[in-house]
Amino acid sequence: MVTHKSRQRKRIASLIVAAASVLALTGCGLSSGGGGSLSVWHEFSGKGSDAMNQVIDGFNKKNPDEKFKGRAIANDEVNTVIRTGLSSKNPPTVLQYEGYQQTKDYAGAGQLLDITKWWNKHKADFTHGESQAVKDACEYKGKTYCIPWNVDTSEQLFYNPDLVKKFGITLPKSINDLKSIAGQLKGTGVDTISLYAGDGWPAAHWWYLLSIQRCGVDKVLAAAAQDGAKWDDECFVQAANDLYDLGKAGVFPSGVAGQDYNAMLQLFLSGKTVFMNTGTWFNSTLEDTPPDFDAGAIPFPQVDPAKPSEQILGGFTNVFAITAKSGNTEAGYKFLDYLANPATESGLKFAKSGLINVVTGADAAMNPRVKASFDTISKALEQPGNNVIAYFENLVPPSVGEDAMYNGSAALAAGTVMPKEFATNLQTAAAAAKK
Amino acid sequence: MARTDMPGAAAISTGRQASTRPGNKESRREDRRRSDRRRKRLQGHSALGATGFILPGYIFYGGFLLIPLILTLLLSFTSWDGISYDNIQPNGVENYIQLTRDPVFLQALAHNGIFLVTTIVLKVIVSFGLALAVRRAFLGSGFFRAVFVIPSILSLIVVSLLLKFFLDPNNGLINPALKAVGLGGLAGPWLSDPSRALPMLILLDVWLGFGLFLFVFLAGMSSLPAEVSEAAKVDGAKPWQETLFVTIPLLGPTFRLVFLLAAIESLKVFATVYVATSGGPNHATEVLATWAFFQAFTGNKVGYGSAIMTVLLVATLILAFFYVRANQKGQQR
Amino acid sequence: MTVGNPTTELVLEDARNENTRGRASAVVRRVILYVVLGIVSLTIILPVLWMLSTSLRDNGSVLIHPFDFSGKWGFDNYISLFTSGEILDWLGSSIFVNVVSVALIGVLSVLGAYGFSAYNFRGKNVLFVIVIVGLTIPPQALVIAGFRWISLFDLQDTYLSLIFTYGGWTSFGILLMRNFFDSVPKELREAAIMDGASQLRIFAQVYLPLARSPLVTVLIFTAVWVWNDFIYPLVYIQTEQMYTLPVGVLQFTGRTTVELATQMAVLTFATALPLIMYLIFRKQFMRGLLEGAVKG
Repeated sequence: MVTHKSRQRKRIASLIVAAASVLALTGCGLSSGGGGSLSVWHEFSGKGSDAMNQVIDGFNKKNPDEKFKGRAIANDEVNTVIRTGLSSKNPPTVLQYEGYQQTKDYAGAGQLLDITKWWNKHKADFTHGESQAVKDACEYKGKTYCIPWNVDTSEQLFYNPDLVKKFGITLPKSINDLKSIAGQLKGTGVDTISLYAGDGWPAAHWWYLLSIQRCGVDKVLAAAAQDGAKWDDECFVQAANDLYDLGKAGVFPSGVAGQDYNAMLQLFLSGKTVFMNTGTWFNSTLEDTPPDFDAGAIPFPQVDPAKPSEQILGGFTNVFAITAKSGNTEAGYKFLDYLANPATESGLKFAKSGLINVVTGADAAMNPRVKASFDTISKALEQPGNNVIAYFENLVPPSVGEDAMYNGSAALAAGTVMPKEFATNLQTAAAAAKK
Repeated sequence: MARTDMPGAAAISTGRQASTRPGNKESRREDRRRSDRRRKRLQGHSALGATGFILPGYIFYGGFLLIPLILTLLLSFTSWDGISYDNIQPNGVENYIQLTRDPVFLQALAHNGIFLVTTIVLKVIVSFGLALAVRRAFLGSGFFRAVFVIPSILSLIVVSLLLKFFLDPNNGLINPALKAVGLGGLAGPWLSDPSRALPMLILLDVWLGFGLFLFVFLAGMSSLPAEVSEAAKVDGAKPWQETLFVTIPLLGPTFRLVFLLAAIESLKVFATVYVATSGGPNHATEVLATWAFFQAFTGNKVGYGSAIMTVLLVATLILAFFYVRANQKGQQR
Repeated sequence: MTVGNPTTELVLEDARNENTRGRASAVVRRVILYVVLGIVSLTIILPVLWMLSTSLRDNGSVLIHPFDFSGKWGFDNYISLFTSGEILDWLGSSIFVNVVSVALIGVLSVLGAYGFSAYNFRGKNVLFVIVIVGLTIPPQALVIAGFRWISLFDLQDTYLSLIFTYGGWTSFGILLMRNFFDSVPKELREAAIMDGASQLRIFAQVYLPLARSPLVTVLIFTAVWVWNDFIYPLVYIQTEQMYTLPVGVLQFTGRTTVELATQMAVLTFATALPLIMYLIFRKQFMRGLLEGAVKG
């Protein structure tokens, strides 16, 4: 007797059989991507991602037996994805990441290949290959684990010339100028500076920039190492106070502590704010989605224009490394060779997309705004001593950087925490992490 | 009450015929003994049968839920950066001691508690109230009923992203809309404001969940015998009295079910917070799940993250225990 | 409440010709009713409509005026979505994982629930309580350990890892179905035994046909939970084409920074399938919800 249920069960059973055969046929069930497939994982988006894809295509044409697949990872998910990816059976062959602390983390865990020999042979192909900044970004216990790719700095303020003209604004040279501009703009519905700190780092960068001016790179490095300086030293509190005052002066839009980076870009690009501070990668965004005004950039204002700081916040925030456990290190070296070779024009492609690439000769493809930033960084990199410092969260453990610095800076900008309190919290976190 | 349209009905009728078959006493006793034995077997004292039914589910349940659960517990006693498997180091109860000194953990714990209580209360009130409103057929009632379920089938990611857009203090819809209707005083930074962010997320959770619960209540209401309601009317009870003293008590089991489901949903809260505020601003919306996620994936502290998760698991177990007790008391037949 | 008379339709009192004391208060009450219901409906319809309408505009105007109707209207965003193709991959992944997992959960729940209901053996209550524990566990609590565990079997970055994991989500189904099976009158079983039916036949021909309604409830709730789950696919799946829809959408919005209209197209697409399924199968969906909720 064929009853309703047995028909139902048959239906379910056939569904499972169908699913199983689909799995078997497509081979999806076992190991997707094939064990040991070649891949390069990166964080580029928009035109930068296009450049990466062009480079990969170029490599694949030259090496048809060793084709690489590219995988773009959204910036927010990078931590989760890279961690699980590195310890999986299918790690990437080549990895693009952000250097500095991440180099320490990944190399320290044995996940990156020691490429010191390769680097010594090829560093001449890179502008500033000998600089201290590269060592900071890529060295761990005396060995090199990554190659520099794109450099950037946050030492600029992008501005909207249409709004500048409309409100008769004088381009600011000092931090105090910003406060007077805020007074000028009161009631107009337009804000001075686009800043949304929901992601933390946009506000943290302001504090970093101010700290470099107030304290100098050496002191920051000492505080990061908790050796010779502390985060609640006077100059850091001063920098926190600068940020706090800016917030109180109404320089930032309402709701500064929330919303994400995309919304922050939206404010600037839609003409609701006059200025915005962010890294030079923004040039790439301007190439992707050009607004209806011709964005300009001026150097980041100084706390004291009479004594400007020559040191800059920035560094090699896009680096490439070969992973240690993919089993495909030979192919990895080939990929790095391809990247470094000026003849393949890999660097040029990235420069065209608006990123500041450091392969020799790549600056030929940079537009004037990007080239100006490149020159600023070059000047600082060529000076003796430490004049370029990476984003601070890359120098300290996450509980200090991504937690205390990010959240604290957002709170400073929003005026919900006092400068002294901010500094004390930060120092407490750093001391706890050091143990 | 047996339904005669059920397929088993055929079995019933033939069964009765069998037991009244004529024959001598001896053979009938034999039959009874045989059928007794068979009945004992068929009434489930066969371990083999039980295994056949329960084992398949248990393989998956044990293998993919219980084992990760035990592993999480074990990981909570280690220190691991999560980047390479060679670096797992046991460290005793260090993580748990660290928890007691962690202000964010305590904040997150409080937030979970607030979330639990408020979302359950609000969900029950909203879904029951709206169920009362749409239980009768009137012009448009079908439309409302259909619309109310929609949030439950929307993706949490989509909804959280939309909420971020709408609540943007400078580019969103809510503030201009409030100003337009004269409620400009309420306008503000919403998700950036520590005192507004958590309430917004609570409202979001209620918005997402009330539709399905509304239907659970409707189903419960529709199965209430009509005589009770009529008797109440005859007694002169006003509608609100009828609701309070008749409907609600009769719907006891339904309320318990909704409480349970709402509690389950609220403890699972992660995606909406993660997407809408990432636990911010400055931990104002941090919940245990997001804090554990940060520690494990950004903070290089998988062991510590596991310890936070273990606390969440223990808390939910305690709640489950109370639910089971309450259910047993309520189901005194 | 017994399982005796599950209603298949809402027994609604017809309020269209309600005769209440005083016309005026009835009208006022009716107006308040519509206002309240209308506001609630608006909070639901407005975001969905905005999402849809924004997806039809161009990125430039949406950036400047997100909340009006300015700009060029057209299907450009959808065309570019489909030509790049990944969204279809993600949709396919979600559907595949969802269908197989929910089927698996359904089968395992029904079997397991019957086992607990029909049999008696030592340790039965302990085993059942252990199953109930699963109800209280939030899924993301186990994802880190879970990932380590599935990697041992080389299952990371596979659909099986998701399906097997979801296969463990049977606590809800077992609880609901067991309650249901327990409330089936014993006479049915006795009669079937008299009739000489084997245990398997009793299950298949007596209990299973009755279980359609609560099973639909289990399937519906489970399908929603699995569809929306984003933590397991995020951690377990590395290959981009295999992302499920929630993960893919998140990555996509992160990468496309300020191209809001394009993002809205993705979001609309992600929402479209469940919404359309719901609108088409509304009656069955509601019937299942209603029947399933009326249990012992």
